[in-house]
Amino acid sequence: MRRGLDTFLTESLIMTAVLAIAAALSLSVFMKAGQMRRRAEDLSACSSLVYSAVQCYDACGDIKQVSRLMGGDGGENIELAPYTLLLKQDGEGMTAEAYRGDEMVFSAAAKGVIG
Amino acid sequence: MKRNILPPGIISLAVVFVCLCLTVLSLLCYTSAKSELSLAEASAANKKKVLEGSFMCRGLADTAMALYNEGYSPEQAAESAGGSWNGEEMVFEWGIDENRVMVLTLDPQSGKSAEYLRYVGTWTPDTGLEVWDGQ
Repeated sequence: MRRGLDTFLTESLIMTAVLAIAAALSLSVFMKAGQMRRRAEDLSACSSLVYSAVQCYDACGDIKQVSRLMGGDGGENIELAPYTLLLKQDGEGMTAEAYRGDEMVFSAAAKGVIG
Repeated sequence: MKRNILPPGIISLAVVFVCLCLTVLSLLCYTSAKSELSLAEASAANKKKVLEGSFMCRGLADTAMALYNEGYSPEQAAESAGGSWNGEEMVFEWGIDENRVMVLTLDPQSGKSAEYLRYVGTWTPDTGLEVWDGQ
């Protein structure tokens, strides 16, 4: 009787350990997949934002107008939660950078109107 | 009194089944997320290349316009800037990848320009699938 109980307890312990290890591994894989999915979503959204800003700049050549068209107040920083679009005017044109928090996700440069 | 006892081994089978389900689901989730990320990266890289191509063409066109405004002929201005003259417009090209070229055409008199992507790769039709073509 005692021997049977011991065997049962040992088997239960092994089963619990196997289940716990499998659950922990699966959880880490799920978390990694979640991070990748979020990164993909950020990249997709930020590249579209930057692309749109650059296309706007190509069309009008004025950074303030781009800011207003993209939903800002005419300034360089445009808050599009959870992203921030930063427009920088330089000698040759404009550089648009999209951030999530402090991390830059995507950036591209645009040249203004030819002439 | 009759006791309800589970058949021997059913718990082990259930644990094995649960582990298998967890493994398969997590792997499916991982592969789907990975493909989603590679698609987003490829799309972002493509957007960047197109914008860079456009940027480079505009740079060439800008140089050509500056030369044209200095008194160069349209042909000379376009060729000096790395483009060509087709008789009506200056044409500037910039390779984006092995299959695509960004083209910018510019009319120096009106200053009107147009940009488009030209595909230069060779298209090989897939003849492996038998499709009824009406004959």
